[in-house]
Amino acid sequence: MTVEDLARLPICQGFAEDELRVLAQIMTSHLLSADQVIFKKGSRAKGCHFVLAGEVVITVPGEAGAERVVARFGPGALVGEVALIDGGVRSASGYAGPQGAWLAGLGREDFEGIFLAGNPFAYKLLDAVASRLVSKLRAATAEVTSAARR
Amino acid sequence: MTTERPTPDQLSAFPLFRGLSPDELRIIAGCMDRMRLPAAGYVLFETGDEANGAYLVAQGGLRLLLRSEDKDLVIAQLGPGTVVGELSLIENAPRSLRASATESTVLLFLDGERFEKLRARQEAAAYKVIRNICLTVCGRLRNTNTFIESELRGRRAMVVESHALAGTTTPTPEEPKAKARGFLARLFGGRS
Repeated sequence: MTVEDLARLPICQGFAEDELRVLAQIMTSHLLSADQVIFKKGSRAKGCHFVLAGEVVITVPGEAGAERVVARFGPGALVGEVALIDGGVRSASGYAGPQGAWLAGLGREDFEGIFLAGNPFAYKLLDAVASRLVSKLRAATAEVTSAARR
Repeated sequence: MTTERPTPDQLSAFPLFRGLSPDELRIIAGCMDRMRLPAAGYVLFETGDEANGAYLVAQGGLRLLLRSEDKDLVIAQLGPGTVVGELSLIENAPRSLRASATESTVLLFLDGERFEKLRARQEAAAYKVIRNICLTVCGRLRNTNTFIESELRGRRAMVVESHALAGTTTPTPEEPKAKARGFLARLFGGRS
């Protein structure tokens, strides 16, 4: 991964070049062809991915063995943040989109390392992940609450 | 409310502070106040109130109530060692439940405003708390999504489909309602 590659990501805006250099050393570049598997539902998660180019398609099992698309992520997006935090199993599958995808991967252990070292990027990433997780939980809880009231 | 600060030993018993050193716990304690709800029925916050921080139950207990147009539902009862309102430390939103004391109750209040200042200074203690909240949120999110898929969307779809095939009217979903209530109790960390 190069500093220039990382500078394409919105979450990396505002960081100095030497800070991005630290990230470039621990983040990995993944170039995927169309429909290539990034992770499968049920597999143990090793970290998260940022989309540098192309698209990531998230699916869950649907009717009669077919896969149902639940989300699509384009450049700048973060994918797999739950797994980055808890290291659990993937709750959905991820594939490269029809044009392929270029991803920057951040391993959970590497994140843990920079987090414990007080790296500002780790804190900024945690801020972003935390907001997203809370929004998702509030939406999901609202659905259950609605069912409890009916 | 008193300004008597909790000790690191008292705080380390709460999962919210897992992984914090005694010095970091002291920093967090600087954002906390002890408060007492003197008897059962005292209201801590109402649905729709502005969220201003998290409450840790040190002694006694809290009842969480979901307000509804026709009927109020007791969602959970929280005992010592539990926390309510911690999501407000990440993102402010009005309180979604009413909380009141089940008996004389001692709470440790983690002030959102003071905590935000620690976060703005990029204090490791604040970010360790944020990460612990994220871990709890991830668990709740996984459980909630599984519940929605298996018990609400999936089951309801099956019921509707089977009644459509049989040409009968789909019954009122009493079972999902009861299950949703039981699930919420577990989600909020209490006993229904």
